Amino acid sequence: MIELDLNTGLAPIRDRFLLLLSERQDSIQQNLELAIQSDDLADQYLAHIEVTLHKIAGSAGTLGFSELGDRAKATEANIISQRINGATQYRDIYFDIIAFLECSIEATCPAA
Amino acid sequence: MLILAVDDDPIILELLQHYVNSLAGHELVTAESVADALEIFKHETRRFDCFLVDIQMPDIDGIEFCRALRETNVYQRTPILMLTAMSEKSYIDSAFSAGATDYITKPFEINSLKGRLSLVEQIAADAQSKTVDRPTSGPTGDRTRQDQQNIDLHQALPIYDVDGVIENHAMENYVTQLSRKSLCGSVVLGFTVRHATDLFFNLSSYDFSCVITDVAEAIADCLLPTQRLVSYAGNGTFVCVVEGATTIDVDRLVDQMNIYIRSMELSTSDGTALEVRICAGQPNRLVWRKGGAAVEALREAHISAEQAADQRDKDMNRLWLKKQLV
Repeated sequence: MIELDLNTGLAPIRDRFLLLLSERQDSIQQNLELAIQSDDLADQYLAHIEVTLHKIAGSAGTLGFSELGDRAKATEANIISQRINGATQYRDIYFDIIAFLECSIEATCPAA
Repeated sequence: MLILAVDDDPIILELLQHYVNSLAGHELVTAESVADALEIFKHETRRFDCFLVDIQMPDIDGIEFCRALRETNVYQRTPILMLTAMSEKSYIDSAFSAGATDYITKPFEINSLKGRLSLVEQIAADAQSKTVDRPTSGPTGDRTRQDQQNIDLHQALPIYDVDGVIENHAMENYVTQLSRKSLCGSVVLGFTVRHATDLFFNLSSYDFSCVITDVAEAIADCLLPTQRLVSYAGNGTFVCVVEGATTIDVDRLVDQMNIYIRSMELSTSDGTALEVRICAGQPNRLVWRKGGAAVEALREAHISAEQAADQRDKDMNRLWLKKQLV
């Protein structure tokens, strides 16, 4: 019963998460476009995307979006690993980020 | 408990607020950054009983904040739970080295949070009630004798200001965390002060604490440059988790530690020189263990070190008897 009350209480937080997710999707998309357009500053834009993905990964699972959280974590890990390995070509990461954006839209609006 | 949560994600703060409100007896104050937390310290007249801190935050990160809290007298023993999505071993190592009490990986569940909070409640109560009497690392002679407090030989005394040395309950949480990730590559090893019981009964509580602190420093320093965490488990025995030590030459390591301890010229508060020597148990390579079973490895290391000390005393006695007979 207590658990049910707790989950009912989560509904407004879930709504705010979805609202914020929409803003975060926009932010990822903008930074992705900027990274693709300017190779020199790609690192910087990817770092912004990494921080945003980290936040999504941190709360999505608790709010019932486990798949979205796992996907965000995997994409974040991919960016980190490419950075550590000193990658200069980010094509694969860009595709990975696009796949994440598609997955995030599907996960949160299955009917879309 | 009065809890301060610091996280740059407002959703996480809302979730924590929601969960903590559902638990009786706790109150949560939230901050979106370390700078916000510092502002709260200026206005909040009550002392916090517990901290929930995210690791990855802009400007000052959670690990730096944790280290800064440990440097204050007020929050030296207050439970700090790192609440983070960073599950890599290097982050876990850094968090515990900085003084974290426990580590909760996001996404978290209400039951997990509830369980961890109830585990740290006793530590929080102890931290509130005890005035810190801290022998810090440094030459024994330089220390001024502080208020005498009674300690127990088997008590896992907290050791302050020694790099790489953490509290015993944090060490248990650390190996439990590692067991969920990858314990492979880590070795657990126990060291014990020989004749610790004699030292305990012949020295004042303060002098005994100083010996323990100095030995902790010697162990932690001699294990460098390897990633290591050391904790004092009571009864003159230390347990250590060392990373990447494929083959440890324990005898050589112990010799090195004993030379280090001798160079510290340990003495009592009245200047009487002390002869302190340690010995080590068998190193135990950690493999995957279920949940709390990882803590068992610490207990085994503790027992192994004490058995090694007993055996050494028996060998010495036998040698002495042999000489007498000859």
